[in-house]
Amino acid sequence: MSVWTVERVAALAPDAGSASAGQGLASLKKWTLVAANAGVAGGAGGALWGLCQGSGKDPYQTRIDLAEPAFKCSCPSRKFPCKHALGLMLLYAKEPGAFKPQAEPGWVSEWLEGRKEKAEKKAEKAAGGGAPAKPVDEAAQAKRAAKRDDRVREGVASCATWLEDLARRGLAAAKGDASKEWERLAARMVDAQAPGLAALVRRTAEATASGEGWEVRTLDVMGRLHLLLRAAEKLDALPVDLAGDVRAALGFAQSKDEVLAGAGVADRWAVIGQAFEEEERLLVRRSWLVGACTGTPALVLDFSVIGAPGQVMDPSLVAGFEFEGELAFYPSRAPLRAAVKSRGTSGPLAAWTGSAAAGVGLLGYAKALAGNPWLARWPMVLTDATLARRGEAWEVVDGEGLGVPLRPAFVTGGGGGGGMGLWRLLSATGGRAATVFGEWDGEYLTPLAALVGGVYLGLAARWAA
Amino acid sequence: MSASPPARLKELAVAAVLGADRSGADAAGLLTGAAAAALRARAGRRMVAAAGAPDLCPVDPTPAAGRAASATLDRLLTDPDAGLIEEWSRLAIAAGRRVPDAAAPGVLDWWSRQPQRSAEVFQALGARGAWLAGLNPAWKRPVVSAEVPADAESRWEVAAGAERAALLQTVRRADPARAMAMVRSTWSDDGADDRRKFLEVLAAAPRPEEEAFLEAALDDRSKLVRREAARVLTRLPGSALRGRMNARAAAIIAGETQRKGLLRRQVVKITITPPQAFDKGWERDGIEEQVAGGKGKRAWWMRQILAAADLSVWTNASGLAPAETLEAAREDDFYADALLAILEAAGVMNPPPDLAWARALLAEAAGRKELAWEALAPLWTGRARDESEALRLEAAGVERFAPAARWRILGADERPWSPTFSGRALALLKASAGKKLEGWELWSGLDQASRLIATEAAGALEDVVGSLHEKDMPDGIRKILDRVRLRADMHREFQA
Repeated sequence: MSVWTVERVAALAPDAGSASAGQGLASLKKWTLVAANAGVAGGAGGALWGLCQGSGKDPYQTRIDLAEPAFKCSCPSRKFPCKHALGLMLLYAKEPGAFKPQAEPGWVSEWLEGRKEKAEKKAEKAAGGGAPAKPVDEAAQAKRAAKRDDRVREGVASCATWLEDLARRGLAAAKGDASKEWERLAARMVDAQAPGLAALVRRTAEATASGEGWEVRTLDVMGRLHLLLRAAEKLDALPVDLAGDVRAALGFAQSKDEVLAGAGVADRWAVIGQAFEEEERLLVRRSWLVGACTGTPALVLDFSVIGAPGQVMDPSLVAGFEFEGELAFYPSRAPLRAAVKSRGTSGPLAAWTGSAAAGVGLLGYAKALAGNPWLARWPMVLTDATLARRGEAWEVVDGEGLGVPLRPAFVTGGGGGGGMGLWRLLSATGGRAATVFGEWDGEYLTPLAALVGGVYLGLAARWAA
Repeated sequence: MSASPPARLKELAVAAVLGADRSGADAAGLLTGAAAAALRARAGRRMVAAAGAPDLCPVDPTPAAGRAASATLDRLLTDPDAGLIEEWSRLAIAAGRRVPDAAAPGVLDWWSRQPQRSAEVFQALGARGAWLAGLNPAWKRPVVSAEVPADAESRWEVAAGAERAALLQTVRRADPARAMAMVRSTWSDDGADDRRKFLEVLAAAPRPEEEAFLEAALDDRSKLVRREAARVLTRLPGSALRGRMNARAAAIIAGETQRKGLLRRQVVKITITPPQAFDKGWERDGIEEQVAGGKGKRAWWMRQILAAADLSVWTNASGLAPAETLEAAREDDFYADALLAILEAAGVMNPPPDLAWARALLAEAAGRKELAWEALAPLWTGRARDESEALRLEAAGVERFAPAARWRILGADERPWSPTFSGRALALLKASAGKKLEGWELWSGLDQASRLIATEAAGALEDVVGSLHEKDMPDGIRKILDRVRLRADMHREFQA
């Protein structure tokens, strides 16, 4: 049976509109031809193709390389993957039997050949080191970095002054309609190229208006901000790994290439869950991974500009899949963020032994926090987990009868297919034990997925409702 | 520092609200302390003994729908169409399948927000449906269910109008005597609107043992209830009310044998004589004295009587078959009014009049230009599907009707079309269309057809519509055809 379930294919859609259009095309009637090559019978790999009659004279030629997966379609859409590719793949997920093995026609084999050649060239380049395509102007780069450091230093100084002033005057005074002043400060931090500071300033403002217990939450964020500002003041004196955490917290974009050039950690990496969040005009995808052998947790971030066509997040990171490969970690006292350095065979995540979850959970979180106090989220795996109710609130309870509270937004839901997290989890388990994957933020758990009887169930909302 | 980190953070927060200046603290020290306490509190969080777990959902032996059918259901939920979700549920039940667990909350949530909550959808949810509905107060249970609740009598006493009517329907299906006892137990205290609603429940299939109660309701203090009771009794075969109506009708209709023409052939002629005066006793049986429009009073009284009488009154008067009976009355001045009343009576009669009557009336109405197609609708009301289909095909074939009327006639029964009927209907539409589908009437006819047509004929429907719109198919029509395709997929997915 194909590893491509309808749910997994749907997760590849770049937006809700494409997902729905793709569903509409996932019907044999829409295609004058659907076929597959011999590779498909083998399991995870192989290629699919189909002809779809659109509004034009000639039918669209849609091709899919399942190994990656990769897509190519002759339609003019700037969405990627386009609705035809999604429709064809959904159709394959629904009715694999309809795709009879055939010899590849020219328009398919040429594309596959081209992909193979490119991959080989890339591998050669990586193996032989090779000269970089463009000589790096190191002097200019250093100059840019120095200029940025200056601006951030200025930003840090003005933010520190503001924060101490706030602590002196008292939160009661600031609680009024100071939001405009705070927004100005946040905007100044963005200008100072420290978006991480801007986000903390905004969160302080939000905390003052968070109702009962607002003063504790506000002071909590202020403490975090204070710690960051203090560390930023002596950034140059910090060890490399800690400096990495400070830079990340300040919101520096870190070079992925540099990270990938470093050593990798090999394991069988399970993508236990994915969360999507909108930040400004950016859609951020957090993919949580856990090494099946070592229990090492990892976080891979992907970004795409909302509304920008042609942007697609790495489709090879599919929730509920695991792959043999290497991850390269960003410099940190408590390494968590990582980039995929290499990947080999992959397959669906069908079982969780539980023994490998040593690094995840509250203890792992506490240890990581000791290294990186600005850590925002941590992955959690609860085996033999059930759901329990405490008044209006719900908890996830592990096999030993101990529970953590669920994020209220997960319980109430926000409408739309993704807003029913709790209820989908309850319905899938029927109240019985399952493995639950989620994000812990120090206060609440947000479940992202569950393994119920060997079936992976994604729970996170893919698109904002 | 003896306080726990969360307590320490709270202490510091009190100082922070006042401000370091007033609380005598050092601002930087306050912030550093807060950072440390908050961090300790976060790192020190431990799992706590669990709260109460809900009861387990009973194991459902029914297997979930297959992969393809489940994917189709997911698609239906992204843009919910009540008809399609209900059809999916019926197909699942027939195939011995149920809604997959992952989709159950979405279906239940959608269903709970529907004004008409189909019992089939809830049934297709299986054990999960009732279990989930019990955990989330926002979700509902079916109003009319297959099982009679054990506490039906006590719920009957406390529930509100619509729920009581639904409860009555449920109980009556299983135990009509128990349902009647429930109605009687509160009848004298119930409001007029409730009383009318309960009678409406009986109207679907009134029973002889309910006649005495209904007769008594003809003297109800509320006019609404009296009218409804009369309507129900009209639908009860052999009721005393029908007998009274038949006697009144017989006084209106008279057949006589005349000799006509050179050969002095025997010809039967029916004369129609509307009542001269209004009998106050008629009011009790639901006959209105005052006329609504500008019609003559006598014709109005006559119409109400004939519409509630058996059609056998006519054949008894003529001694002829239905078609000849109509012919014998055709010359009469009151025939046009009488024909409308007969058509109405055909829709009220329970069981419906035999096919010879329906065919004779159809042929008669076809020739009368003043009658719109809607006047024919009573002819197929309440009939078995094959009879209804045969009559609708005949009606849709009436030459004077425009294409829009044909589509509407074919779709004027809520039951799904049989494959044979689907094929014949399409052939008829194809032969009579000849131009583009324009205007809402045509579209709504096509829309209705797309919901009812047998999925075996889905391709043929596409061909018919496609041949009318080779180049420029409007999006609206394209969407309607998509629905037919989706239904065809759905049926196929449950056969596999």
